[in-house]
Amino acid sequence: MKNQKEDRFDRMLKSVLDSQADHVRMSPGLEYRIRQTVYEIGKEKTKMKNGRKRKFAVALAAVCLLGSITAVAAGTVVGYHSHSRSDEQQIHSLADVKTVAETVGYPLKAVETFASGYTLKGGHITDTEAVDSENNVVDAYKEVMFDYEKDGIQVILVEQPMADYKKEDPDHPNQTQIECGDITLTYREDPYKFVPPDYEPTDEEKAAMEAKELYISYGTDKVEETTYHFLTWNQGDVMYTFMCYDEDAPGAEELTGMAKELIEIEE
Amino acid sequence: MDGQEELVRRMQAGDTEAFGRIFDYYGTRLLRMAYLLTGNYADSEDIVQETFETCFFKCGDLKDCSRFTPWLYQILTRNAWRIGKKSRREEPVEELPDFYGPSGSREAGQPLELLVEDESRAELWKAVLRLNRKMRTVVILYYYNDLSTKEIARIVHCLEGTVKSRLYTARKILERELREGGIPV
Repeated sequence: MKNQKEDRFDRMLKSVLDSQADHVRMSPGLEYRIRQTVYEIGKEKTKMKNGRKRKFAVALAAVCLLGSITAVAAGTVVGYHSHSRSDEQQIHSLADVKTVAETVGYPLKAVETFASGYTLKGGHITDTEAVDSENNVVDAYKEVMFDYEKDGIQVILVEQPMADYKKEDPDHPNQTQIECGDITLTYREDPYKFVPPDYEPTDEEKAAMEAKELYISYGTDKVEETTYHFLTWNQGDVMYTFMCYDEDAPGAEELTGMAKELIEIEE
Repeated sequence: MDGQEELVRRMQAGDTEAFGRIFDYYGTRLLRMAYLLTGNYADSEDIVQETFETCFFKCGDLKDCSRFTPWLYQILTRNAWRIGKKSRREEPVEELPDFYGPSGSREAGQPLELLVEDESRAELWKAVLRLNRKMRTVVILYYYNDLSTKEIARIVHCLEGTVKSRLYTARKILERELREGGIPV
């Protein structure tokens, strides 16, 4: 049986935890992001093979995080809240791009089909908020995601307004610079390991995660490894990113060829 | 939560409306747990997002729907351990902001005993954040979630005796830290 002192201390401890927790409220951005991710991926459930849906969600999150390491160093932006406006301004074909560009307020570049065979399947606007460590919104903008596909392999093209805090981390591993006229393209490969919820990383994996040479994502049945490919460049005031992750997805050379096609489009 | 098992079964079949109702019920609760486990709001958002994604995509693995709540808490605590651990390397506990903020700040004319009470509570919260992750987890599940030691043992995958031992040790550490800070316990 507890004595009086323990009862008093236990009550105080419970009360402190309750009052700390009461401060915490779910932001509308977080709520929307969680619901939207599940609803969008849920819709894809019948179309995608098991496992691809989670990779798709991770891929979208990874695009949001590009450049965030530099941002942390700058002491301002530490994260992003994103939600797609899937019920409006959907891109169904190249003809919709002009209207979407007017909505987002900056020029967009896209093609119907790249020379490599990747064809536009659709696209949508995402409202994104960059937030600081106290969850204050320090920047808000609209980004556009184009979905390209060839033989079941998906390549996502993301276009968004450029800002200083989005600049690439020059020290990131597995990254190379490719010159394309007066524009520098940055190609990067990030290895991801999808693991079950109870997976314990080895010391070697922990060291690799520390060095940003490995990313672990929890929630699959079995351990599965995937490498994400990113190609990023800036032209004018717009930042462009190609992202893909399938085993047979295009690498640096093929993505660079696709980038050149976009760069050469007159605004 | 009324009808939870049925909702879980529907969610297992891919019903996003059922997921929405589960999210309505557990969303803020899990966010608050994540905050208590890490002391960091930004981390808590990441933890909760990953937890709900895993909840929806992996709920098919759950054989007994009546075990949904401990299963969900288990995912949350594991995500919190992983994400919180990474973050703590970047932000020492000592630098965490004082979340008492304006509502806990001293006001002119406030009785002395209330000032002492505020200080004690603030110190106790900081001491909770300094507990190691295993002790902090059982403290939060026991005192905040009002779970039994048996239920906690299932969530953190250890013997009930181990949970009791962690609770006892954590309580002694917290009491000692307050005493060392000149606060009567």
